[in-house]
Amino acid sequence: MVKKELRLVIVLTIICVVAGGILAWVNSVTEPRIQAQAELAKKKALQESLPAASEFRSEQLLLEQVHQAGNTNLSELFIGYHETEKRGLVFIADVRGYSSTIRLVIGVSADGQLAGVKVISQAETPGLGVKITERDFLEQPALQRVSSADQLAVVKDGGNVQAVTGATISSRAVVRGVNQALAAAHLLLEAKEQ
Amino acid sequence: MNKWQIFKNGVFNENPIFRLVLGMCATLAVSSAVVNGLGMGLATTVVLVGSNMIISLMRNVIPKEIRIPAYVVIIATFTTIVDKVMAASTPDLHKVLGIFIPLIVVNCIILARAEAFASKNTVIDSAIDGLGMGIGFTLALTVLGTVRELLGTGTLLVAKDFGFSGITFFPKENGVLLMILQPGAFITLGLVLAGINWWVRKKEEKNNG
Repeated sequence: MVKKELRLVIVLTIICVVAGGILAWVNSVTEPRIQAQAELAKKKALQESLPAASEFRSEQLLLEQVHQAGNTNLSELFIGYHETEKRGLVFIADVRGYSSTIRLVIGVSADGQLAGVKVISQAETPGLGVKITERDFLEQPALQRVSSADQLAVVKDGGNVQAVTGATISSRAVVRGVNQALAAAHLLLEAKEQ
Repeated sequence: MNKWQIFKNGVFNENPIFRLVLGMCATLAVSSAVVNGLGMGLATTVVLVGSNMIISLMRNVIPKEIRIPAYVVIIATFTTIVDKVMAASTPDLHKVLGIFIPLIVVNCIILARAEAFASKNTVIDSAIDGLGMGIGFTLALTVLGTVRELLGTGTLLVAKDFGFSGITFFPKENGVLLMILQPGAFITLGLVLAGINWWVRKKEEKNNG
């Protein structure tokens, strides 16, 4: 009768409420530590992408300028300093990959050279797209000695960058992010010289 | 069945991949490399043991009409807890296992064992079943991963996060790319399943004849 259906609803509701409560509690306990680790990882990535700098300061105004020039995937911009000397720029780019948003950290030194590319978050295909995070891909010859006046492309698109085998889309996404950072760096460094 | 038989059952007689043919989505995706398989197997075993125990604990409380939604909620909650706790306390391991942990929720093995075993047995037996199934799963992933990684890339046990670049058997260019992509997963699984079925049948004939 109705009593039986009521029991089903009540038990299921209780299970869901208890589960929700446990998850909310676990979340509140773990979230601060997860955020702290993300911050640490970000700082480490900033440092690795522009080794010549030791301090990084966020620049929102310059970022707007960069967006207006069409580089809309760049979500953060830092100027890297060592003591008081400006050593270069670091961009954080969010690009659409194959199955996730890939977050890149791209460093360009003050003399307009690509200083480093790191991937700080992604959820691409295990065993394939994930390889874009590896040094074999990010530190390949085509990504060395690149100036901010250059624009890169994977071999399939007529460029020099070796894509990860079986992960062209993920590789292209990284190239897109790097290109925007290069274009933005070129824009800002040229402006500074004038 | 005694405790040891329950455990052995999960690893061999009712191996979740090769005999029960469950958890295929995760298997096909993750068996492209040995280390990936090991990571996934480890994470799945933890969730399997935990959810089996909790569902066994509550087996007399959950009405059978709503058992499936109840199990799903419990399994999803457990998986999320494992994910969050690992992200907070073991960030490096979590980064390696990363995407495999949420994938566990879609792994049918866990729901199947909840329904077939945990809801009808004691907590300790359910834990052992979970452990056996988890290890059977890991073993199967390792077998498939070995074949696919070796033929597909020429190396084994590439574990870049641990600084180990694997044992190379032949250069990457000579590898069969198909093996590390989806068709290779299906083909490898099919051939291994065929081999195991043939072997089991021969054993049965020997026992009957």
